[in-house]
Amino acid sequence: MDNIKLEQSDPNFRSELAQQPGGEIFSTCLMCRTCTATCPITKINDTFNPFRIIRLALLGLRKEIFTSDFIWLCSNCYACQERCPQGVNIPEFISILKNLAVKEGYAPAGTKAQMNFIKGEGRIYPIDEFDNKKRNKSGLPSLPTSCEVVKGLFSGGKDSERDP
Amino acid sequence: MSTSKIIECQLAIIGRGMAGMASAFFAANRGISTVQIGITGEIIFASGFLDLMGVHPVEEKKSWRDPWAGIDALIRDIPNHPYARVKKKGIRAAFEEALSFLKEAGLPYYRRKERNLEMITPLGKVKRTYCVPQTMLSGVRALEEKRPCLLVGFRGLNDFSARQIVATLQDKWPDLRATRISFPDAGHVSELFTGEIMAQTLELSKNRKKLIQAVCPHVKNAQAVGMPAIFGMYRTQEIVKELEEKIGVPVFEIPTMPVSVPGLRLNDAFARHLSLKGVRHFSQSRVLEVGRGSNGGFVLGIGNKTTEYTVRAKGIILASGRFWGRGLYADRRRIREAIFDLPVYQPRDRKGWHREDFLDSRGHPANRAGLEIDDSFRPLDRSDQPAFETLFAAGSILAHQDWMRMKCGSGLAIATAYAAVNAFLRLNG
Repeated sequence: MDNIKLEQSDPNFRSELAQQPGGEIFSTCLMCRTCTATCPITKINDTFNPFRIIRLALLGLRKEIFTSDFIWLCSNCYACQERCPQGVNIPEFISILKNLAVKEGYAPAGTKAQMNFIKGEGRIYPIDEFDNKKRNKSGLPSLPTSCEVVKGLFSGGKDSERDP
Repeated sequence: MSTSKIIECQLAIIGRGMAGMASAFFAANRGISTVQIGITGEIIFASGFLDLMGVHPVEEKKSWRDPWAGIDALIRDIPNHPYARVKKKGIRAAFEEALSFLKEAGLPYYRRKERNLEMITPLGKVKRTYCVPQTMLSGVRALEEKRPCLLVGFRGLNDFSARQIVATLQDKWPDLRATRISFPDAGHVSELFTGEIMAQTLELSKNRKKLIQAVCPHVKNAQAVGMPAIFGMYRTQEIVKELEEKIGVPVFEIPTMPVSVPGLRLNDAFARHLSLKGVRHFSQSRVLEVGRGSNGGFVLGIGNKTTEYTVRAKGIILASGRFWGRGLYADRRRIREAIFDLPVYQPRDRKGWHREDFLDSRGHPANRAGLEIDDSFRPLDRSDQPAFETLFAAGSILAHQDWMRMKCGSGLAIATAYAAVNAFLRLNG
């Protein structure tokens, strides 16, 4: 068990989180651990532990949350949210942490790569003629090889095609 | 409210705790169309025991072996206690129906009709209660007869210590032993948490096989084996049977600290079976707006953060609990009821809420605050008349009881829910 490094605590972190839409309710968490006992990810990898993450956030340990990769392990299955006796929407809270992490430049390499794919190609997985050939072979229709609409979203809508 | 989807029903039940769940199944059993609203209740923290009547008077800590005699004494001394309005006949009928509902839902309970049982708690204390899950029955018997018995704990499960239970009970139960083994399929994690993930691990036969192999060498002269309550979420009876066959002695579950699997099982059995019986529930929903309907009924705006549905109901059962359940809340001056702002019976001012000593054996006046009701379980307004024709209340929100100290929580929830639903039926039949 590690010591809690309170000297690294950022006292504003808690209020910063509470100001995010949906972030206000997380401070009602009373550490009952129902979320952790319900989490299928904790069973596999106990560095991901929802109640520990909430505790870290309440203690203002911003850097510890952002520099480790455990928040990115959440699969958004909502099992914890279903069980929480305080009605804390934990997956939404983890998403808030992920968004802040990206804003501050802490996204893991894989997530950054996915983001760039979507920006460039409009999809996580770019489709080319080879994929369409395989699809056709299995009786599936071709898919467009570019996705300008999504690309447009990231360029502020300038290049997007508008529906008539 | 106008843009949300409209749901019509006869009865809206506010609350997902024991009283809300009980109200919902009594209503469903009587063919009343029902909607249930609420966030996850305290049931998930329950030990799984169902108390009826344990302690009265609380200041003397007088514990009752015969709960019915305890109820007689309670009603005599506190004529306003909600039990006095249900009467023993009603309480008995309510329990019959509740236990048969739970059995139907796959969660059989054991009781001796006329007397309380004794079972060990995760701290090694002996607790009197009225009903225990069938999976704990062998524990009740082993304790009664002080048979040679083995308690098994798991490495990494830090809030359950078989050794602690043995240390606490050794004077009363010299043939009790403890051991600690590794939990199957958990070698890669450092800490375990009782809950559905742990319970689900034992739903797989390969994990049970490992558990049996690990327990068997420790059994020796033990005539019963107790383990923390984690024998599966849904196939518990089957799992216990298999463990008993392979280990060769009766096996039982011991309740754990929250989060407790018997509590989760209760919650899920209610939710599953109520939905089969046609009760509609909106997950993690709250009452956000309330108004009167044109026909004398109610219109409720419900949702998680914003109103998603409008529920039109002829009647409401308020089973929203006390401070934790948010049925009551305390501001700087008063204790208030959260949804209808109904008058709350309470000490005259804040100074009277608590006694000097936190552990005062009489409890605190704030613990007996709550809604006062008429014989039809309708909360009263300031002139002591029913506040609304068809608003009923059940469970811990009611005044003149201290269920934690009196050890009557489940009984209070079940009996008052039964009375409230029957009163709704009588007045709206």
